[in-house]
Amino acid sequence: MNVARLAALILGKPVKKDQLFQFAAIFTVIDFVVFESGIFPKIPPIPVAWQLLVLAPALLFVLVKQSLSLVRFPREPNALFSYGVSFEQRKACVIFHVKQQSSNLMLFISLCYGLLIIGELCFARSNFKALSLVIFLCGYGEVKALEWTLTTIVSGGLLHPTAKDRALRGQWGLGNIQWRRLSIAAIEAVSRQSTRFLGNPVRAVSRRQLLYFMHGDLFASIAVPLGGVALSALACAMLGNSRYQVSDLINVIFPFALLAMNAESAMASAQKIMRCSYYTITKRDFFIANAVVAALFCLPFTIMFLATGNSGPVFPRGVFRTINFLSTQSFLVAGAGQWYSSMASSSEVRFAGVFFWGFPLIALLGIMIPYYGALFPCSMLAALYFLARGDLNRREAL
Amino acid sequence: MRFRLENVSFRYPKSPKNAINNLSVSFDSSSTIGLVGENGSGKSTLIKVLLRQLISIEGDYYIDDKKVVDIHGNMLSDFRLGYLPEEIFLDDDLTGREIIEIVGDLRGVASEAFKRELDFFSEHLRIGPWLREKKCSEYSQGMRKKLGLLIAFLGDRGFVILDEPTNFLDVLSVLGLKEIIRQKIAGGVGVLVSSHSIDFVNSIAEHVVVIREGAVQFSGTLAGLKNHSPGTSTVDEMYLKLLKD
Repeated sequence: MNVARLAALILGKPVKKDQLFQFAAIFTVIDFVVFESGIFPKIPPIPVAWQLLVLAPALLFVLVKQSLSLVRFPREPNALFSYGVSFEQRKACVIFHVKQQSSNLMLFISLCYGLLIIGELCFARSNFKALSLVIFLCGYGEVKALEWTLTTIVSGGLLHPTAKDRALRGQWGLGNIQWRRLSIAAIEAVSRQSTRFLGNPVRAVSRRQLLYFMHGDLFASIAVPLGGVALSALACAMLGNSRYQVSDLINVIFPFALLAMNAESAMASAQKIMRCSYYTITKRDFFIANAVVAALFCLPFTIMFLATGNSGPVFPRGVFRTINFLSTQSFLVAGAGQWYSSMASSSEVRFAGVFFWGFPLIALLGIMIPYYGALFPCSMLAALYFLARGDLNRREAL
Repeated sequence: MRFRLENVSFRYPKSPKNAINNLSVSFDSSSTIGLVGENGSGKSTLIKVLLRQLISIEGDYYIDDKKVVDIHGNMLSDFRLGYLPEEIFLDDDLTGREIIEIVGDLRGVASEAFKRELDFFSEHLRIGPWLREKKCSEYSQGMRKKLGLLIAFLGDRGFVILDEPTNFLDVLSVLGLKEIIRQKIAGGVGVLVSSHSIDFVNSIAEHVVVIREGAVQFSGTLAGLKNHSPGTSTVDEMYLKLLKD
């Protein structure tokens, strides 16, 4: 079976060119009307080109996560495992998929940019600046750099076959023992140090959750936060005070994406904890521990926000912005804590999921519309109170 | 702490007969109890009832004269119980060392005591670097059993229940386990051992419970067992008579 066909079977068929054009047209038109046309005077003008600069790596990080979880075997045997698709075949599929997706993304960016220029020339000639071309080239560079990095990692010797892969090939060795020892020691040290400040039993459960995430997806657990922070720093350095919404968006979208990507793992982890009778914990402690883990994932972005402080606590906009951002992060943390801990029934999972997805999206609007932003943190804090109050009172055993 | 079951019966769903049937037994958590019976006699079911893992039972179950149905919370942590199931479910993504550190933290074991316990178990159960260097998914059955024993005894446990602790263990580790149990008993820990190995049970238990077809056939000391089985000269014959007659 050739790689293209295998990749389509495993990862789904690629987006068609005409669909790509439709997506680009819808995205550019809506964004242009909202942020550049001047129809909504209270919404600050954020050029579509800047948004593309943020959107491209965000989409690529989803690709990174998807690719890496494919190269390394999943924790639970799935269809791939049953069909016995080998490590080399999966690597080939991932490289093919990454190249295909990045070329699709480049086409999408080019189409958006082309439509944007037409829009600016026809309807908002004053917005048409040469800087957009520089931004476009930066976006192109971002995609190409990430594509190169990802394909180099996958095709190079950095990723090793898993124990299950070796077992399938009848190789029962330990692989690169030094690397294994080093990574286990590093994971152990990171998990211990990052939960040191907590009291028991939350410390023990948080540490267990961190270990579970890092053992399962070490690269993604590190690459996504570091990549997001680097991008946020880059946006701050390039944009300064004038376009703080862009860096705010990065600081919300990346932890949000990271927490959402980890949700499936977290729920599998919760099931596992329930089956391990020696983990004697209450639902309340489990909720708090999951919220702590979510907070640790969000921490680099919160520090980034507080450290850059590029708008300063200038009343009222700066204060609203800070409150809005911090309440968004709090809600993300509480929402993820609840979502990760929900396992009793599918309705509970759905309820927690709706909160997790819904409120940060509303919060994003708060960031994008600073004048009305105060409404969003207030409503979110109220919801946060009602959401967390119930969980903090659940003292029964898990 | 005293465990007392009175006329307890339990039937698994879709099973035609009771796994334990009108069973009455009582024992103290400071004693060493050996649970003996043939395959399918109801030993593991009795243990699950004791740990309240099976709750829809008929009859009465008391701990210290308090009905268990009125007790809420986690049995293992609230009553300082340790438990080694026959087939232990390990957190396969973590290393054994990571698991016991977490369990130690949950049980409030201080770092010095933790190190002492780990050294003690490593010496007697011959636990090697695999505990730190391998994830549990890569452990052999013997390694899993050793880790399970370590988890069961870790921390300030008052009473430890071991379901088939010698399965998959090598001879030297079985001897080490006997020594561990002896030292724990000397330290005031009560132990309930369910095993097919009569020699193992006899070497550690002061109180024996023999189960047959879900009911208690005998409950008492080894000396009492001898009186209960006249005409037998060896311990093996005593059990054989009890389980066959």
